[in-house]
Amino acid sequence: MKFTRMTDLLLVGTLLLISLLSWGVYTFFPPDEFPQAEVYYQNELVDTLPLTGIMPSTYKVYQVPQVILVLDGQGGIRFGESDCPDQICVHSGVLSKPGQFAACLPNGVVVKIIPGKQDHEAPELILGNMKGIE
Amino acid sequence: MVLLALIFATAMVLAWVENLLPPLPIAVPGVKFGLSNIAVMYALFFLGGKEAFALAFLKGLFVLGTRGLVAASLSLAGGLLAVLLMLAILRTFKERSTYLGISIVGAVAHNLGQFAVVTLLYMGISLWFYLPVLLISGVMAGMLTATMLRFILPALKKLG
Repeated sequence: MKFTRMTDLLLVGTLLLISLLSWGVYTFFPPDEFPQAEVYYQNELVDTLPLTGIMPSTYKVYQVPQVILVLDGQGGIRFGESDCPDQICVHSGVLSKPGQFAACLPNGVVVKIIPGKQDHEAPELILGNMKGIE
Repeated sequence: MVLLALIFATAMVLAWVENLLPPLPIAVPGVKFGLSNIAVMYALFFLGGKEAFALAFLKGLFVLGTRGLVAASLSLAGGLLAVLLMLAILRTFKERSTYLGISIVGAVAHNLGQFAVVTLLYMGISLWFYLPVLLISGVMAGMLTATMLRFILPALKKLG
């Protein structure tokens, strides 16, 4: 068996083309203006955090307070601290686009970005209820 | 059997060496160079498909004992899919297949297998966003392992 042939170039080219296409298609989607972060602990959704329209803050999952999530207030969230040995989650960087996720597998915490929408109707519903109570 | 045990030990040492290296600056869990894939490739080329599957299974068991169930699931899924696809290429193209091509297919399959388990375990996380990273890092890892195998092969052949 030979170490390499010209056909390997075809294989590498095909894989790079698929990469380029999938990246291109993804970037064609309009950026989400109101991304939200879903926080999972042991595969259960524990919270959904808005990432825009907030002050910079930190968030801890109740069960694993050693894991600290940092919200930058500008649409991004990242693992700020964790006591896991490999620190893969901390090195994952800032998440801001729907589809992105980062996981701290040793602590069972996963953060996933989902598309959000500005909820214009919610305040009106609350007002309506208040009127009803009055 | 003795040879398989020796290769398994080699795979463990390679995995240990890889863990000593600084983490890759890639924001995707589980993406590694996969140096221990060199041992799996050797088993596939010179011992056979069964032995390569056995090695991937043993690696999964070792990870289960050392790093827990989630890491073991990732290792097993990546390892078994890699062997399956490498074997398919080898059987389909026979002598026309190359070390480099098989190595790249194995590395990409390893990444995809691991990531498939992550998506199953964690609420259907989309693979879409990370596909380019998985493919390109797989190509690079495959080139690296094939190059290393080329240099190590003369020494490994003495075992047989």
